[in-house]
Amino acid sequence: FEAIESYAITLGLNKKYGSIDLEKLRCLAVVVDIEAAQDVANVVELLQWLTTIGVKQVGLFDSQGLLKKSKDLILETVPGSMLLEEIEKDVTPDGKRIALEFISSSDNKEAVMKAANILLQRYLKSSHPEDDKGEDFFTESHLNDALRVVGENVHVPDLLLVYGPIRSHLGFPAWRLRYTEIVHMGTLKYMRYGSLLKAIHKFTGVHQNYGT
Amino acid sequence: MVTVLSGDGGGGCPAMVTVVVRRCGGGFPATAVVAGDGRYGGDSGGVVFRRRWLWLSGGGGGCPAGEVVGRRRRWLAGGGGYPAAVVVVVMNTLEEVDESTHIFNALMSLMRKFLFRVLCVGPIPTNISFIMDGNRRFAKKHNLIGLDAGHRAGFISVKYILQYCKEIGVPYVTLHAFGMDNFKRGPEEVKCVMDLMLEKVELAIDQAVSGNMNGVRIIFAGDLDSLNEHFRAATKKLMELTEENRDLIVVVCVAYSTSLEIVHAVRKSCVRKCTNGDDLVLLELSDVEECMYTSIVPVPDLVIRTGGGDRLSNFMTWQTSRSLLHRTEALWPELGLWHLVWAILKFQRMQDYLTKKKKLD
Repeated sequence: FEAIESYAITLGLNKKYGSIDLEKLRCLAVVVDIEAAQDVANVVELLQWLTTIGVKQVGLFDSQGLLKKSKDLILETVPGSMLLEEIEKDVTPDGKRIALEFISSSDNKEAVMKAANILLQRYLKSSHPEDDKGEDFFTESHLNDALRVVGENVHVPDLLLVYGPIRSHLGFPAWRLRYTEIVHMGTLKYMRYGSLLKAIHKFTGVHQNYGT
Repeated sequence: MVTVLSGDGGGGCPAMVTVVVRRCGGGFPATAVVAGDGRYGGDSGGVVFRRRWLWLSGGGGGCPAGEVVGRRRRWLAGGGGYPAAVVVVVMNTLEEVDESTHIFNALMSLMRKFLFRVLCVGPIPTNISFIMDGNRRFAKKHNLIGLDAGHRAGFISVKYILQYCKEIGVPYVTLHAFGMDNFKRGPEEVKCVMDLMLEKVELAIDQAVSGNMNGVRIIFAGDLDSLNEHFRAATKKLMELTEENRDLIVVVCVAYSTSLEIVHAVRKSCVRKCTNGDDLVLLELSDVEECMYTSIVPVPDLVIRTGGGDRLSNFMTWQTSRSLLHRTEALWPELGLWHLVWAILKFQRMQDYLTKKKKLD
């Protein structure tokens, strides 16, 4: 039934998915399992679909960093794609571009440890009482800043699409994964445009309380 | 009209509770509708739960005027006082529980044991985490009165789920009870929920003192220093009383969020490094992880989120990189045996992939 529905959406038979308001979706993340990450062609096709839908910023994650290694190939093959950090520097915004970010496990715990060590060094150099508990040196804001110093993006994705056999974030940076909606899309090999559109459309209708 | 209902007989469930409901003329006192933990006079005016047959809820007193709601499962919504059409709930003693109830309870217990034996042929998660979402929606859905009505229903669900996990042989259960972001709710609601939690902690202390914890160890994880002194003292006492128990270890996350946990762990480990006077001051991952609130338990194998949500809500995002995230549309008080069994079966199906992933990591 899902396959039939997906094809119907792809063919434009379901008017509900005709236009999607992407204002809520500022940052989309895609988690790809290792086996799928080895096949760049599918990743490129997915990015082309996302560009067609109108998504402006995509973070691509695989735990081993295989997509990072194929970064140049992906940027050459996906029309209008640029690295996120380059788009941020570019003063002439172009509506047809898609900003890409390549993320791996090294951006998770390893990055937090690098940031923690920066804070530790600052703490050591500061003058503080012996019984100090470090509350002025180690806050969420300090850790955010330190992560930026080590080159990490600290923006929280609004939606995380998981392409793999199971519903798991597979080690996506924990610091960024707070209220992100996590949707399991199945394997990348059998991805469907209609399912992608449906998932994004469903996200735009979600109301979050953020704990309240 | 008299309707006799009873608990389902599982150990730790209100097996000895028989609830008699009578419909009478007006003028009854607003005394408690209670649910037992296998003994009498359990929750004070809390929720009486007989999962498959009848749900009764009280919020400190019987039923409010005009709020008797008849549904397929015969829900009666409470909140204080009694209606003119009057429902009186009376606790029966163990001796008054009739033979058919015993037989029924015994049959249910036997069926469950058989089911769990079959389930245990496959791998069982070492740690199951629950994001207990949906209490307020449950209260709204069933027209329950009182800010804590849904949460009281949720507590009954906690008892059942812990019982099932213990019977299955799950060693650890982690409960996302109250996140840091939940403090942003209305002050009345926050106070209500914290008072309810304190009530349950004190109840558990009584059980622990009388030796009725059934081998369950309770650990509280989170920024407990931010909670009031009375609550802190109660949690500390409960943790001490249950420290030796090993049948099931339950970690209750209160005043918790992953972002807070990471910051706290980084701070604590850095200060510790400085205090130790190490020559080479470099923080390792193990230094930080041993300072985390949840360092005492293994990482979750399975995370179950109720209420249909698709997010982790800042809960254990650091620890769940190899976890199966299972979601269910059922609201937390609706979570039952079959939901849990289904989630574990899914975990078992994915075991090969998860094991392969662990090796690669």
